[in-house]
Amino acid sequence: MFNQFDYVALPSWTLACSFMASHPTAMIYAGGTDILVRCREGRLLPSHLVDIKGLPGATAMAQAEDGSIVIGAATPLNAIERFLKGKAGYEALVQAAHVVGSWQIRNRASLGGNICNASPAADTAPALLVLEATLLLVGPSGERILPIGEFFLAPGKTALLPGEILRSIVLPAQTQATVSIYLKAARTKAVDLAQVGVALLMLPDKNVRVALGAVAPVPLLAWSGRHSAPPANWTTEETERLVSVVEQMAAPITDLRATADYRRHMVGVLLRRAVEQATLLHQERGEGR
Amino acid sequence: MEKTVVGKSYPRLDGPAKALGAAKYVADLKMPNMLYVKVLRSPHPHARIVRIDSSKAAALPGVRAVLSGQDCQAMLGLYLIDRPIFAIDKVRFVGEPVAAVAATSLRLAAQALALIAVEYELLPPVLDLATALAKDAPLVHEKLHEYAHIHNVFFPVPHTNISNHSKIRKGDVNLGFSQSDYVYEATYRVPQMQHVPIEAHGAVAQMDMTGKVTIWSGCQSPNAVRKLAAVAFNLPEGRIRVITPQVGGGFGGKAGIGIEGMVMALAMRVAPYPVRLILEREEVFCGTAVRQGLQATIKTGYTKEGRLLAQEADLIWDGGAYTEYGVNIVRAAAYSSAGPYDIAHLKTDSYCVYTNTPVGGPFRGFGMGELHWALEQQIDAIAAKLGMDPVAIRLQNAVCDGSTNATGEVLVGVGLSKCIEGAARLIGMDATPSERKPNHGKGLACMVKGPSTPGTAASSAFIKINEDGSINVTISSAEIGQGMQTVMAQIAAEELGLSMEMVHINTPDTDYSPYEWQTVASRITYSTGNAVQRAAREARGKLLAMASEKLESPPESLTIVRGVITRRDGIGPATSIKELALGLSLPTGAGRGGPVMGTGYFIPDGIHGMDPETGQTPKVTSHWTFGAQAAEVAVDIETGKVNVLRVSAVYDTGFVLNPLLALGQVEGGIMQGLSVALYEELQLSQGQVKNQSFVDYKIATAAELPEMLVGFVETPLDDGPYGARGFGEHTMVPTAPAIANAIFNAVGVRIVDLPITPEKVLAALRAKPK
Repeated sequence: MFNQFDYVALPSWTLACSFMASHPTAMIYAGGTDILVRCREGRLLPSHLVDIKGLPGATAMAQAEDGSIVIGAATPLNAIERFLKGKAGYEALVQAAHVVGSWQIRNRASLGGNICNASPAADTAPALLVLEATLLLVGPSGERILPIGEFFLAPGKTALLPGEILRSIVLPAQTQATVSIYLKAARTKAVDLAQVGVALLMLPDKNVRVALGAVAPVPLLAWSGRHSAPPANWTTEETERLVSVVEQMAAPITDLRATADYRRHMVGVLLRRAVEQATLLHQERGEGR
Repeated sequence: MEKTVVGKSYPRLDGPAKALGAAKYVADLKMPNMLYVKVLRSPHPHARIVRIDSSKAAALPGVRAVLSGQDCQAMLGLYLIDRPIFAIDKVRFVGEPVAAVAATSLRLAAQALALIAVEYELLPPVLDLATALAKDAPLVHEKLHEYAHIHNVFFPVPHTNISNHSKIRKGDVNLGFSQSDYVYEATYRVPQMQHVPIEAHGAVAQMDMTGKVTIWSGCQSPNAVRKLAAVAFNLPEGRIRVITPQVGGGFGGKAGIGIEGMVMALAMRVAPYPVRLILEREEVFCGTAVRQGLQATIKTGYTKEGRLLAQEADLIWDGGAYTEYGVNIVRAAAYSSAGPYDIAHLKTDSYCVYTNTPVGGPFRGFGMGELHWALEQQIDAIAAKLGMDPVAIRLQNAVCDGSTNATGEVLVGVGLSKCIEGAARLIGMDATPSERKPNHGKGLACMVKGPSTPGTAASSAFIKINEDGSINVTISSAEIGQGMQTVMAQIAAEELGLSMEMVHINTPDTDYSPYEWQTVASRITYSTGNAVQRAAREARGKLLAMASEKLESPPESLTIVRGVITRRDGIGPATSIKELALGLSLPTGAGRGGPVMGTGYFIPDGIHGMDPETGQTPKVTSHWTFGAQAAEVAVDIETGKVNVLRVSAVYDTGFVLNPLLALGQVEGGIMQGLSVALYEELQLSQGQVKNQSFVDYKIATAAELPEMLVGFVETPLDDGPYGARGFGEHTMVPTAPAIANAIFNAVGVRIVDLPITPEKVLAALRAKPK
């Protein structure tokens, strides 16, 4: 059964921020696919749900001239998947958005909600980490920009200050030669939470980034740095070197979804597969040009 | 005579209403002045109730009644009366109802719950079978020896946690083992699991000012609810009316009596206000019946040629906190313990064991899914040890006409071998090794099941002819998604020479629809089908008698086609069901006879009880249905994940009354079997269900759907309608062992504990000798 709360919709981000600042037990409501479930379970007892879907730009997506992409925080995952599909370099986010819940859920669930819940298992978080997304936050005293890597503090806890709202997610421009992959281990093939999530991004300048979900208290950028060879020419040894570095970053727990051992094991399995798929994608792109 | 309606595909009669949202379920019921119920449940697996103080809750404005075991001492039970409506003196599982509140709103009822103070004194919990069976184990039921039960059918062991011990002693098992070349023993385990019907359990009850009680319940068994409630509350059955609207899935979880007891107790307290309880999904997981757990140890003696000679089976069932229904699953497993094989020497001990975990009860298959998980891997393992083909060893041991089963019954009309051959052929079991992809494999499993009912389980049907020549078929079996209404309509239409659109069929109302034992045991097509057929034949006889007078031709010369009655040779005048519906009108202007009705009933003939010591009997159940399934899997040896690619299924259903619905039944069964194989398990910690939502209780999704190849064998059953046998539950029984056998075939590891998780597969692969 739900606790009693008031539904609030305000005409501007500024008013929404000041409402949030003056109502410490109010919560932001976007798609509602997580928050309503938690309210029903009594795990959240908000006094107000402040709907941001109607705020300017909250569900808008646009690509700027410099190639960067701005996604309104309340944009549903299905819309994001459609928008980004075919844009080189963003594959990981397309794939991550596609494996959250079910089709019906993804018609409602927002990208902003997926990260503001700060679940260690949020599918889109590893993808956003390797894409080096930045977050535009609005608060009572104005706006600020935060790299996604500084956003997650602990399970369920983000860097949002009182009264602050995530307004949009900014994805830096990617070149045609960039490839990224998100792979998820889950119990069923669909409609399940991640046991492990692995995002990999390979840049043409040999820079490689790997991020992990569900193996630490927060989604984790496990590796970012230059590799000895461009993606298409990796040897098994090079992949294994990356795997062993990344594996050391994982600090999983045992819960209902998987044991810590299985999670640790799957980090390596998924990363190897991600490298394989990224290499293949890279080659396909090369041939297509 | 050629059949015109049965044997043909008709879509579900209840389909349009369900697709359009027009079908009414219990949760759709809203009545003036209705009260809402919330249930206070035990947080402890085993504790003495020292004191319950509900005075604050009762004083809350808007609260109309608070009931607990202090106010309501009524007990429930189908086969063994061991279950109180509210915990009395002690609680036996986490989630057991301790008290319930009826209030003017759900919110008030929830607030009132929080005001009920219960003082518990913790008792040592019995959380697993080993603890339950240990010497000097704490007793879940100290007064088991005083409980009423059906004598000489169930055998509680006083002053233990064993609420039933069913035995089979056939032949001489020691002789069988001494004649065997080899003996193989293994243990298999099945966890408790939930039916998870899409509609949560719900009931509304109201007692009017004359004291008559009406219950609207989304249940499988309105007559059982009425009877068990009448016993519990000491009311005449005629003063209780049970109405069952559409039911959103049962799978056994809504059989017998469940939450109706609580709702009725409250309704009697607050008369004439109606009270309503719709369970939350979490309550379905912890508070309603679950599939019992099983630990099966099977020891088999066999020859080097692969002939099974002897089997010793220890079936230890985790019955949970109450086993009023579960004791019969344990009995059914004993008498089915040879599985579909002809084994001369058998010794089976099947134990129903109390633990402080959720209540066990019927679940699609009634123990057969659990039993065959063990038996069908055991024979597969033996085949592998002998280097034999898994299909050949099954054909060699399969029962056939003249074989005896575990109870010594001589079997007739057995089409099992055709099912095995059919399932093997559809999946291509004999494909040459060169066609095999790495880590791909195929496996097969068989099954047998009979309806596990008392010998007196009866059905009845009533048909009335309407003024327009259409008919109403009135029965008390529940439409739980199995398509029963459509098949019953087909039988009535066939017998009366009507088209399907002229047949109307009701949902049960015990005040108006005739008796049905329960909608369980895959028995409706068989048992109710016979009753409907007889009712239709009676009505047909009356119609033809009148038509004979009107058409001046003997009844046996007449036929009915699409409601029109003529001579078979087509000569002479015609009349119709419509013209005769209200009786015969004579040329003089007078009338004779009257509105036409037909009644029919059915009880299976000749079921015998089992010998208490040996379990031997000439006929323990009405009939047996056999089948086989084969699965093709791909095992990911890096992740341990199993991908089920294809499943074939062939069942001997005697006669396929509706090919479309039969196919649907098989496909649904395969999916539920696949789900049980790979995912389903109640994860318990200190008796508490940890995964009580679909977030962590996973069931197969549409993404897991394998390719399905389905066939039927039709060996007619003497007393089945048109030869039909029951097979609704059977369709999920062999899926899990077929998948396990396919995994063994693919990667050489055998997973003996359900579910087959990737972690178990990986661990087995690591442990496998290189």
